[in-house]
Amino acid sequence: MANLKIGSHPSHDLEVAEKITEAKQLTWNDSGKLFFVEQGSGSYVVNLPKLSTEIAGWQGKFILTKLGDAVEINGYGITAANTPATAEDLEKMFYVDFTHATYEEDNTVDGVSFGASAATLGCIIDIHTDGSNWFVMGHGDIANDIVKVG
Amino acid sequence: MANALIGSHPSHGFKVVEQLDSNKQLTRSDSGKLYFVDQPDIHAFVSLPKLSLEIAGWHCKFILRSIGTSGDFHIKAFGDWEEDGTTGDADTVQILEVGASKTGISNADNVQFYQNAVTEGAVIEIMTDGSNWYALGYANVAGDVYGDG
Repeated sequence: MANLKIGSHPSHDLEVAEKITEAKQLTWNDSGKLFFVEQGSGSYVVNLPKLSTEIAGWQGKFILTKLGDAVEINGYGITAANTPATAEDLEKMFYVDFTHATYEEDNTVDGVSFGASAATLGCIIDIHTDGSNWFVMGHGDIANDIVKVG
Repeated sequence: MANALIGSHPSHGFKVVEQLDSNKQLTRSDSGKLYFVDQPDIHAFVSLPKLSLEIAGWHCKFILRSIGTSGDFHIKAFGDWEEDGTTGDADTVQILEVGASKTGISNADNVQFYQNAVTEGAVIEIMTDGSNWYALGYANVAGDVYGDG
């Protein structure tokens, strides 16, 4: 082992703001965006790009701006927790959640969500990757603001 | 409703550093700056730019560098008022403070390094979708980061 560069990936450097209101597949080109997430009536899934060392450095910031049903932000190909069970990017997420009610961590989750009973506008999920796993930090107020998936 | 681009706004990418110790009106061109805050001994009011879709994506970071004795350091929504505004962009600041009191405050007028702050290094990150401000504060004691109005 030695210190070494993993890779680099272009970023929008938080200069681009997008609204998410329904299911979406994120791509390599979305790195560095601010995603303002609206929960609605009915849950939906946002999928992260497929993991590869070519996207080492990909990152995104998700901010909850409207309350409703759960919004999952899952690894590539995962439509809901653990489904399908053959998805390549299952259990590739390292998850840390700072909330009022709980501090929680888990290094084998499938995704992270703004929970169905989230109550805090402005709670935030930051996501980064080294190309092999997703590293997620959630900031909420109540336990249901940020909920791990799978 | 549908997924959509809200807008884009140029950022300094945290490559520009400024110090703040008194009143100031921030502008569209300040996005992406790092602000080191020297909390004064009297209240100070730093106003965010006027909200509009044209500044969707505007963001910055405030870091408390030195502690004052009795002054709140307000980071407030746009408007010609000092506290508890009812005009301009009043009631548009959505705050989440983690670390101390760990609380969310909806529809506030400002977020502050409060006069009882004790923790140099406390941080407030701010961003906007053009319609509201979203503030994430990292505190050690309850007085480090506060919001009201």
